[in-house]
Amino acid sequence: MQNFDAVMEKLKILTDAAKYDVSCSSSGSERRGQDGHLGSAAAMGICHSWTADGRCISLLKVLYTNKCVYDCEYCVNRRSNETPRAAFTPRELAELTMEFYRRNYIEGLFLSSAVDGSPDRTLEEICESLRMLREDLGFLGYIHAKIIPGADPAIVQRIGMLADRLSVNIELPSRESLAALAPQKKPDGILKPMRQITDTMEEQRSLTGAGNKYSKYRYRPKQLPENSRLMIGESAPRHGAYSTDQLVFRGAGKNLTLRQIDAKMAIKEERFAPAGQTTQLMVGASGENDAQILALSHALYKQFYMKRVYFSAYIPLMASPLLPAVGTSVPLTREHRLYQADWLMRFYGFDAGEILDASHPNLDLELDPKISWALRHPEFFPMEINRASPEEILRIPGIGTISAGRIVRQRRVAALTYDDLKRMGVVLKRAKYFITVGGRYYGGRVKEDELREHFILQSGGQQIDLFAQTDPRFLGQTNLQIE
Amino acid sequence: MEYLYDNTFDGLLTCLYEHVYTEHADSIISVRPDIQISLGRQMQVETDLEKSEKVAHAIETKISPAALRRAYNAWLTAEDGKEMDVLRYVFLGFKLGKDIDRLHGSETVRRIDVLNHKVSWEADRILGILRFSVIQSPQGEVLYAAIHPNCDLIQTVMPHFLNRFRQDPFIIHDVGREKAAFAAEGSWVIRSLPKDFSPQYTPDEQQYRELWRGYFKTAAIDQRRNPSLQKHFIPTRYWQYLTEMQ
Repeated sequence: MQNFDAVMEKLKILTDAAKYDVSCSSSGSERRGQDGHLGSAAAMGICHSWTADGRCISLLKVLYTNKCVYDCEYCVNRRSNETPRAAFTPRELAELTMEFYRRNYIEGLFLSSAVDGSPDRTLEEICESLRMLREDLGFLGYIHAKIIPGADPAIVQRIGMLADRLSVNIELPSRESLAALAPQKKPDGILKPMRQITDTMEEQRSLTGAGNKYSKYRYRPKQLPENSRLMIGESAPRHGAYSTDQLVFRGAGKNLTLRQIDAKMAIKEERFAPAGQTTQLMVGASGENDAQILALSHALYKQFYMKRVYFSAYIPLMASPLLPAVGTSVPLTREHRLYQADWLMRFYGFDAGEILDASHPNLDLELDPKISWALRHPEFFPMEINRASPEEILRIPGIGTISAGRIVRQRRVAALTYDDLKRMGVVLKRAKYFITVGGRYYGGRVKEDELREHFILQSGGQQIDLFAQTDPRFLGQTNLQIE
Repeated sequence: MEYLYDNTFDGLLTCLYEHVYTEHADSIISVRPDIQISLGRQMQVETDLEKSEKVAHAIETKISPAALRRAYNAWLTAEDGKEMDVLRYVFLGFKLGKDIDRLHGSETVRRIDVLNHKVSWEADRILGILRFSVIQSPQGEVLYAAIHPNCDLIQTVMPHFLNRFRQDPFIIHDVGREKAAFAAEGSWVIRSLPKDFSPQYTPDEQQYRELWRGYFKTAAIDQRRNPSLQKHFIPTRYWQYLTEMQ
């Protein structure tokens, strides 16, 4: 390598500028390797390393350039911030990606950018880098491309045909804070490309048969990859730990039979953004409460079929009268609770309105949202574990999708005992207050109104502890993802 | 009766066969030089492919193909007593049939769940944290990776890398077990390779490692530092072979 020092310099600047974007997953695309090409994509995503902050590295996440004409208050790359600036060339970036990928450092590329000149000009450069990777160098790994608000539909279409996943970041969760903190970005400029991506994906799915505009790129795998049914269900391990006729949870209480799942796999290979789109909301930079944030993310899932809505705790790095002061603590616990709530909406059948309502506008920082909900609704409990429906079981604190699946499976052949639950991985120190097993209640004499204190005590009341026990998927950094 | 077997899966299946037709096994251990002959009664079980095939077939038809896979995966772990765990699971399966995997509350089934989870967790992790280096060989560039997993899972991860690296020949070296998988042009073999194998790297190799370390360091956000979370995801026993941790 002749220009080692220059590339190192650029890599550091452009990584530093990109690292505050949360999304890192490499899931949702399944693509086999081909002769003459390098790479493949795995539907469940693969994490390659974890940095000192415990976030995973799956993709090479860099900006194309951090030279920016915008001046958004919260952003490290804002025009008025004095920071070293750099830009890759398409070739440098493509070669770096190939060499990293070859050494199995990364699963692919996540390319974002500041706005150099205009959104369209910047996206042209991004598009050229991706084209070079895919067409000249034969790269079949994962690509996540960021679309800049206000982009021309034609360039979005071209990038969508090269990338696996697209994302347009909302960042500020209301029109008011967008106008105050990022006056150069317009709500329409954000929503339009999002709409375009959703519409194109729908169109692609509705067109079948030879000769449609996506068909020449489509192929059906001759043979479904082994264990493919397990890649859909987040709860199931990949290496064949379950029998074939089992129930796999996907989403709230919905169970898919093997045949349905196979049918889904068969249309997996799509050309335009096969891994769909995501977005990110910043938490703590502006005054929105959790109910507003959850309502917005609920709407995004419903209207745009987002794969994920990421939350990013705002880290005060920029001095501004409109923002929390530099050095204010980062709202990590709040971010964590939002992810838990997000999980409840996506996999446990909760509505945004159930988790939070007018009388509870914010998530309880001391308790996770599922326990909070259960404590507010004593009328549902205790539930008889041998009779409750799968949807009901998913609402019991201490029981997740995996143990709910085990309970339902075992019930078909043998009634459950309390000890069975212990071995199934149910967290009984939480669940026992909400269930009966064979008619018997195991919660002892703790009174209903003491339960809240009891659970806070149990969780140690410490953030560090909560994180240690946290299901890694809540951190939004993971490869495990039901698509 | 204490059974001794040759530490192959076929050997274990032969033990299951003998368990039925010769004498019950109280324990099954693999023959290793560090294990002394104990005072109890022992039997050396000669691996017999015909017998193991019969047992495998019986598991597949009387329980389920998944059960055979689960038994095999459990055997890949490095846990003590895994052989008897498999034995108990298989014979419970013969009693219960394909319903066995629904009985998550059973101690025996649970144990196999746990062992399977160990293998699948580690295999998933290895897919991500395995690091190739580009080495010089007389035939051209070859990718080489050293790993040291608890479970014996080279053959488990090979399909993934074969699919991904269609052009580059590569070697995955299990340093602890002193064996390696050699792959080129779609086919592969496992051969022994000594611990102290030291390859000749290409001139660029060091630079790309530097770049990767630079990236890795820069990507961490100081305000969110959380080393214990990091160790939760990659336990330190894997750090030795991670480029970015050196």
